Amino acid sequence: MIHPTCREVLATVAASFSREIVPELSSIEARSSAATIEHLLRHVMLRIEEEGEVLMRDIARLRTLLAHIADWMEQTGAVSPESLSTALANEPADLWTLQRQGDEALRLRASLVAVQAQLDGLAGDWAGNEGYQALRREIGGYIGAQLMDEARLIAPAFSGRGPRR
Amino acid sequence: METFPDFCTEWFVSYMNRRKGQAVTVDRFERFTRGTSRQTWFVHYRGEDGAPQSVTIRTDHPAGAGDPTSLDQEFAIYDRLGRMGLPTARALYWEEDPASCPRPFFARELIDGSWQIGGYALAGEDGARIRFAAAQEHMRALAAVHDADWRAVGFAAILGAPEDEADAARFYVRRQRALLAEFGAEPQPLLAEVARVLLEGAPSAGRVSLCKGTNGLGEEVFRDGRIVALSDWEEAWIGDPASDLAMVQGFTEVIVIDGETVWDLDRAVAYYNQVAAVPVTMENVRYYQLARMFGRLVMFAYTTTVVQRSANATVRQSWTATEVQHAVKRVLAHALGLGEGPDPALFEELNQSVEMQAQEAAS
Repeated sequence: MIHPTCREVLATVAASFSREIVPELSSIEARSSAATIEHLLRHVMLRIEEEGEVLMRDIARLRTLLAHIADWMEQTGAVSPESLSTALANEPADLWTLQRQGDEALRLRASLVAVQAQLDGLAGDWAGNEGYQALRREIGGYIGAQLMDEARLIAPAFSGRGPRR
Repeated sequence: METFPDFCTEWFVSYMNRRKGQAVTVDRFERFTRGTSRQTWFVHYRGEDGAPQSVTIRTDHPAGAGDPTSLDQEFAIYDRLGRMGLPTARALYWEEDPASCPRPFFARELIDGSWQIGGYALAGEDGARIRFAAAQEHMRALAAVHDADWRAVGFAAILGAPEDEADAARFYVRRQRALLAEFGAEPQPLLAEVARVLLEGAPSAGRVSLCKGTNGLGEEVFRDGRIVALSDWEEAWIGDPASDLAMVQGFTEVIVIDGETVWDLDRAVAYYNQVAAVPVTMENVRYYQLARMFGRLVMFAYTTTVVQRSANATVRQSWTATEVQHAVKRVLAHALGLGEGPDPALFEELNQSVEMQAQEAAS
């Protein structure tokens, strides 16, 4: 089965909810929850459409960033790149589902957080090193880019669409 | 005792009868809709003598609170506050017997008043004067909290405390990191980056005080223009009072009277410094604007775990874990020069509610 897609089914759920259920609600508490549900339904529809692409791009960015950090560690001998190299080598066989894509992005983000702690520990000796500074900037660049991708899953669903609660 | 799936009028009547030996009639059992971290009910009832009584019931959401501190810690905070002479609702009793309640709760006094201040939203100079008076009242209340003797009532035993003034900011970051480790948040490179910046720039505090945490418009109970109860202590900590000045809801916005700006954050801090025993610096206030946002992101990372582990989490918790958490991340990333901040108009949108919309339509 291709059609109706998840998004198409959810669109009917959202429209029926707003048209048939919400006008019948009288208490502030129920109307407040209903408003939140309407926003979250739009958010879920957006994620169905966009999240796969966002996660695959995140995974690619993280692999590139971590490889650069491993190279710097190897070249400078500042710290062993072994655990990072192992994390990069442990690539899953497939990333066919959103669940697996999310798991892989989280696994790589955990490696990045561990590396950030290692780099913090090196700051005393390496803060003046150009390569070290470049890695710090690259980590910052990754964080900014990932957040702008995340914004694609948020802003169109919520912004300018009324009270959230 | 009959069991009840949730807090309700029938549960309260049964509870008071079985556990407190009182036959009561409930006039109103109202849910407070503003709070997001925990659930609050206001109960108005009568005992056998017919005299009206009231109590506030405070409990976690069915799937857990929205913040990583425990309900029994909040009860312990109110218990100690009651011994400090500050305007707060007195903690009455703690209950966790599963046969007596849907989930653990505590009761505290219901103080006569409202988070809403009469005339606060009025346009023109009348409204400005009311906002100015309320903002000054709030600064006096914060100064009273910071001047109070937290050591005498044993706050360190429940909240911990920095070693000294120089350790205050690092203590705050350590505490947030310990919470993250404790509840097992998903790894966030942004949090690691912000923690590094905060530790590198940690300032010394002017003094170590009890700090309220969440504060400002919507968080305190007013009556006749005076604060009669300081509420919402879940972000309370022992540390730098500048942290409370760094995140004040509503009460540090610009106020103009007779064409002159009489109030903004700088003026609020200057006024606070006149009424508090020890002044704070704007430098520390700015530092804690970032630090408190970091604390909020830790809180929302916790809310995410609540949604993750239970379908009984509320839709409001799902919203907090998505849009609100994203907005805070954007603010932090922007502060570190890592990306665009959110549209400033977003925060006004986030504060809007169906209830406010209904009140505006009715007025």
